[in-house]
Amino acid sequence: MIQTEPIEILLVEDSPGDVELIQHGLRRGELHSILHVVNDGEKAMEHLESWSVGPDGKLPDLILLDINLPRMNGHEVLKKIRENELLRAIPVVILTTSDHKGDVMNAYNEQANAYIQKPLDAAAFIDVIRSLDALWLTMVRLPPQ
Amino acid sequence: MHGFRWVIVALSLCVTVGAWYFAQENVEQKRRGQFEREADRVRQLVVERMQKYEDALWSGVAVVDVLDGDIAYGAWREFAESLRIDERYPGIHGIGVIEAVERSELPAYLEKRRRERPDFHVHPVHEQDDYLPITFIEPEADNKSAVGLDIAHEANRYQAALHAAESGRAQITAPIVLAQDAQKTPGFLFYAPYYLAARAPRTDSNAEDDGPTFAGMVYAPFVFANLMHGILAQETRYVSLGISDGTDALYDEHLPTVADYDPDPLYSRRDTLAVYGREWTFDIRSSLSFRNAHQTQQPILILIGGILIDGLLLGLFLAISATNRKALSLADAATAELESKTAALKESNQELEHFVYVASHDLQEPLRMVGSFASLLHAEYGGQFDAQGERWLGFMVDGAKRMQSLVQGFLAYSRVNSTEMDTAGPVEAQQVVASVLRDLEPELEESGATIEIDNLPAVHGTEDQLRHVFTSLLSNAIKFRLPGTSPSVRIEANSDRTMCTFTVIDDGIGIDEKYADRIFVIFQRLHGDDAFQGAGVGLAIAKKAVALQGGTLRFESNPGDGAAFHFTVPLARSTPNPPRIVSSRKAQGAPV
Repeated sequence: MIQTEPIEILLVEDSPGDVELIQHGLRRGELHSILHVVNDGEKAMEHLESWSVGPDGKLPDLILLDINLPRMNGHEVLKKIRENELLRAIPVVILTTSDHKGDVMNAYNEQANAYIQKPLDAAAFIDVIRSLDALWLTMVRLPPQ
Repeated sequence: MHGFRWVIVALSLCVTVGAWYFAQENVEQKRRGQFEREADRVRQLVVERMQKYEDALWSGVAVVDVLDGDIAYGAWREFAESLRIDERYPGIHGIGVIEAVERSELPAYLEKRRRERPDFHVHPVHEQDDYLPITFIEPEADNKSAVGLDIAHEANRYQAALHAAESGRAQITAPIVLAQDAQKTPGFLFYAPYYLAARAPRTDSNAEDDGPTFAGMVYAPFVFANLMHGILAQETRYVSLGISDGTDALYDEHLPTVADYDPDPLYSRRDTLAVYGREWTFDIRSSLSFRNAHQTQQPILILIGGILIDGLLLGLFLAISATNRKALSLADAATAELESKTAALKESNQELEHFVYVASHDLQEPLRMVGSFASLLHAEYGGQFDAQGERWLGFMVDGAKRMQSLVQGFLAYSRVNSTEMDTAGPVEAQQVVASVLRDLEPELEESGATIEIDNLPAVHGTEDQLRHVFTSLLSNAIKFRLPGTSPSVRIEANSDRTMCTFTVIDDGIGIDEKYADRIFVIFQRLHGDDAFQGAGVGLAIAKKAVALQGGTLRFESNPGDGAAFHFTVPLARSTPNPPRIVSSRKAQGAPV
């Protein structure tokens, strides 16, 4: 299945290095995506809410969400998304360094679609991003806008 | 203090009081018996002595009878002397004869008596029809004032004389004062009447028959004090005596001036006794010497001794109670202190564990950046560095990797913590080992290891911690194999009542026992990086996990000849001990 429309990804990540790695990984991919980056939880919510009431009402197709964020952490952001009728259908992938059991359980309880631990190794990280890209942009049927 | 101790003290007190009471009763009974015997004896003495005097009087009567009433002064004196009154009748004042003289016969009587004693006269004057003058009284010297005394002049003397005359029996008078007693103390006269047949019949109307006629009396005058002195002088007595005739006191020893007087006698009794026509009341009381002779400390000693023992017993019990209370309060205080220290320690441990976790986690982020971009730099721009730049980049990547491995070790170590024990429960060791072997499958295959496993019991703990222990021990057993050999590992389990000892035995390079202390310390490694990979956290984590579950971890080894790691964990509660299975089986996935 070939995607014709570029998909929009909202990356909520406070580490510029990780943003760079993710962008690097996505650039290596064959497919076209538009990456929006915000570096804290509150900005993410502002972004999503303003987006949803904008003139074209366009929402991101996928959200990549870190857990350790300034001001509002990933769990809170995920909870607000799932409580918002307009946003709750958007797939959310947690992308974090934490392998804490509590974080994993909470994320799934809050209806995260996937929980991925950032690999320590750069090459492995890039591989993960490319796999994500391949899965979500080519295989997964996303909710219609 | 416990109830039973009070009961013992109460019982002991009862026994003491009981013993005291019975001792008291016993003493009292004996003492009263003694008093009664003494009282009887004294009364008997008086009675017997009176009988002796009566006998003397009757012997006088016999003399008068023999002489047919015609008694001469000399004959009576002779008789009186033969009685040896002073010697044999102490207390008697004398023995004499009173003759009954009719008014008409008085001149003849006087004439007859004046022949022997010219100054004899009858006195005092009275109005009775008859005269009862004292004719003789011996020894006369002491009784001069009585000679010629007509006893009819005074009612008490006269009444008793009439009774004696009528009854023919010995009689005594009511209390009188003797004429010869200068001290005017109470006394009495003791009469024994005699009768003469030859006398002319009485002319008074009272004469009833022609039998012998009352002719007189042999008599003895008594001063009561002297009598009693005579009776009782030689006796050792424990009682004092008072005798009264009606309301008249005859004799009284119950006086403070008497040496043996007891103002508060222990016993007393009053007997009334008929004594020769009179009723004498004997008032007998225990004396001071009685009190002293029967003074016994026994009951009071029993009481004091018993109470003293009870007091000691009570004191002992109270002391024991106080000591118990003190010990309990000390123990409580110690327990409370220990609890608070334990709580503080637990809190401090949790803080430390949290700190280690947070620090490791936060360190990991920048470290990942360094490592990631160093390797990215190497991968994508490697060609643009010269050899030295490449080498330095290599050190950077390698250092970041090692640092990551250490931080990972820290994280793993900090995750094995006491809060995990909150979820402790029964864990099937067999399943845990199977799961660990699945995780280690790449290493097992690569090394060609053979694993033998006993039947393993269920233990009490958490699955994660047991997994840490088996992972560490099994991966070490495979890792530290002799070069060029396939390791052979065996897992045994031996249970006693509460604990299970697991043993992991390998045939690897072994450990010099001088490193026994070091191998369980985090980041301690015995081999250079080139020989055996690892961060040096596995055994530290295993030791911590075993300790958290309440067990111990130790090893035995000869370098070059394998090692055996033993660790104990509590058996799962309420699960019976499984018998140790001697046969073993090959682990799944292990090459044969």
